[in-house]
Amino acid sequence: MKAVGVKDNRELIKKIEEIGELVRVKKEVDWDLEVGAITRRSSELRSEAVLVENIKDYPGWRYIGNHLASFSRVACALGLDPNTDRRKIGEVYLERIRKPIKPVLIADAPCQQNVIMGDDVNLFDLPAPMVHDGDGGRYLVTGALRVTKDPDSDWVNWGTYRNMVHDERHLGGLILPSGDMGRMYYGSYVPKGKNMPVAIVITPEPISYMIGMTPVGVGVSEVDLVGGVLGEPVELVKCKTIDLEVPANAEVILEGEVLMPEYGVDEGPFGEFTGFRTAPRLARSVFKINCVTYRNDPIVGVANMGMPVDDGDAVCAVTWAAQIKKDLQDQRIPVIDVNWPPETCSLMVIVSVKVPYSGIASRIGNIIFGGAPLGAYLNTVIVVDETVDALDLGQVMHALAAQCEPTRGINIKRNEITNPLNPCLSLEDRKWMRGNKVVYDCTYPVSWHKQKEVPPKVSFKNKVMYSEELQKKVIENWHKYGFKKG
Amino acid sequence: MSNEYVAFIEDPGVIYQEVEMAFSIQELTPKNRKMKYRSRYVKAAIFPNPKKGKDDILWLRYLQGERYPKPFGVKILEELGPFEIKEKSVFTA
Repeated sequence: MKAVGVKDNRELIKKIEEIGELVRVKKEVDWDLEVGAITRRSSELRSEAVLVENIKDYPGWRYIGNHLASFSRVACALGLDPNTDRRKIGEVYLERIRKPIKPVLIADAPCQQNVIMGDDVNLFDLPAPMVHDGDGGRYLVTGALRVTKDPDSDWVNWGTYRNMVHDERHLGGLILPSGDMGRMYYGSYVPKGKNMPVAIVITPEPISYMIGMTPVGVGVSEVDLVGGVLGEPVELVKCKTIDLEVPANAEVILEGEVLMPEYGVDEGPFGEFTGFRTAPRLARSVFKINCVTYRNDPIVGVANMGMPVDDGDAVCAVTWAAQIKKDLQDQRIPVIDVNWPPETCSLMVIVSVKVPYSGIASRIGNIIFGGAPLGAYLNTVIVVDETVDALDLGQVMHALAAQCEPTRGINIKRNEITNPLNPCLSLEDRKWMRGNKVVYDCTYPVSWHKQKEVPPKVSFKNKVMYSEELQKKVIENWHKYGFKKG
Repeated sequence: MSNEYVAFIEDPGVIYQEVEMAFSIQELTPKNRKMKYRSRYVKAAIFPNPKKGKDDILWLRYLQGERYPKPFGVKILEELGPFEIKEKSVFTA
C-alpha cells in the first residue's frame, strides 16, 4: 500500500510552498497577539498559509497557520492536484472514508524525539499563543486532537478541541456532553469516578487533523478513516505514560488525564469557529499533563478560528459535507449534493435532493439534526431540488427567495441540543446548549401537477425553454458568435 | 515598578470603592516573559483610581473578554493556590 495523501505537516508545507500558497516569515513574531493578528488577517484576506520561523522567547520553535485554509491546500493534503474542483475533492474524500484502514504501531516515532516527564513538564516552555486580546488565556491551539479510549470497548476517539493553559501542568477546555468525547467521559469514566487518560496531539498530521475535526459518531475510530483517506495505515506510537496510541508523525504530544467534574476551573472566553467569541467563561474540565514529547525542530499549529475562511471552514466544507452526504445516503435519501459553505462557519448546510415523497425536507432535517454530534453544531438546513446546484450559493439564494414559501417552507424545530458557541443564542442558552433549529424547504410539493402548477424555470439549461439540440448548437457556436466569456 | 494583572468578572462597573475578594488573576508582567498569563488564585483588595507607579494594577475584563476602560489598583493579601476550583456542571460544555 502506498500513501496517496501527505503523511505529515512538513510534507504538506513543501507542497503548498511549491504552489505559492505558503509564506515563510523569518522576522521575529511575538506569540503574544502578533501571530494571532497575522493568521486572522491571512484568513480574512484569503491569503497564503504562514510558517513563522522565529518566535519571540521561543528559539527553535515554529508556528504554522492556515495550512488547510483553502480547497487547494486541502487537495494537496489529500494528494490531489491543487486545482481539483471542490466537488471532486468531496467525492474522493467520501469514497476513501468508505474504505477504512486500521493503523500500525511503530516503536520509534518522530513525535517522541524529545521527552519531558513529571515535574520537569512546564507548559510555558511551549509557545502557546495569546490568540486574541481578551481571550481567557493562552491556547495550546484549537487545532489539537484529543485522543481518548473507551474503557469498555476498543473504540478510540479523536476530536479537535481548544486547550487553555492554566499553569505549568494544567490545561482547561470544553468537553461537550453531546460530543463523542463527552459521551465517553460522562458515560464511562465519571460514573466510575475515574480520571480519563488523554493524549493531546498538537499539530497532528494534516489528514488526522481533518478527520479529527469531523464528528463521526460513537464507536467509530477516526484513525481507521484517516488510514482510508491517506491510502495506507496510519503510523501510531504508544504513549510513554498512558495506555493510548498517538500519530507518530505529529509535532507535539501532551500526555495526561482529564480530572473529575468536581475539579473544574474557569476557562475561556475564546474567539471561535462560529466567527464570534461566544461561549461564556465557565468552570470547565481540567487536564493534568504528566509528559510532553515532541519532534526535533517542532511546529505548533495556530488554528485561529473566526470570521471565514480559516482551516476549519475549508476542511469542514469537505469532511462534514461528506459525512452528512454519507449519513443521508445510508438512509436511502436520493441526495444529489451537500454544500457545507465555508462562509457559514459550520452553522448551515444545503442539501439538493431528487424529491421522492412529501416531507422530504423535514426528513432530511431530522436525519441531520438527529445525527449527533454533527447535528448539534448546525442551526440551519436548506433543502433544494435537483434543478438547483447546492454548491452555487447564488442559485441557492434564488431558491430561498423564490421557492421557500414562508408558511409551508419554514420548519422550526424547537428545544434542540445546540453548541455553546452558537452566536445567535442568548448567553443563558449558550451555557445550557439549548436552542431551536430551522429547515428551509425550497422544494415544490409533490402534489403539484408538474405541467399545470409547478412553474417552469426560465433558464438556458431548462429543456422546456430551450431544447437540448438548441442548447448544443448555441454552445458549439458560442465563440463564433463573438463571445469571449463562457 | 508596579506589577500588572488581569482578571475576569461579571461586572467591573460595580466596584466603586475598595473591596476584598478571592478570585483568579493572571500575571501580565512576570520576570520571565514566557510565564505571562499564568493563573494564580489570590485573596486581594481591589480599589479604583490606583496611583501610577506606586500601586499594582489590575485590569478587569467582562466575561466575554472586553476590557473595562479604567484600571483598578490591587493589593494581594494571600496566595490561595494556582486556580480556584469549582464544580463543573455535567450539562454544560
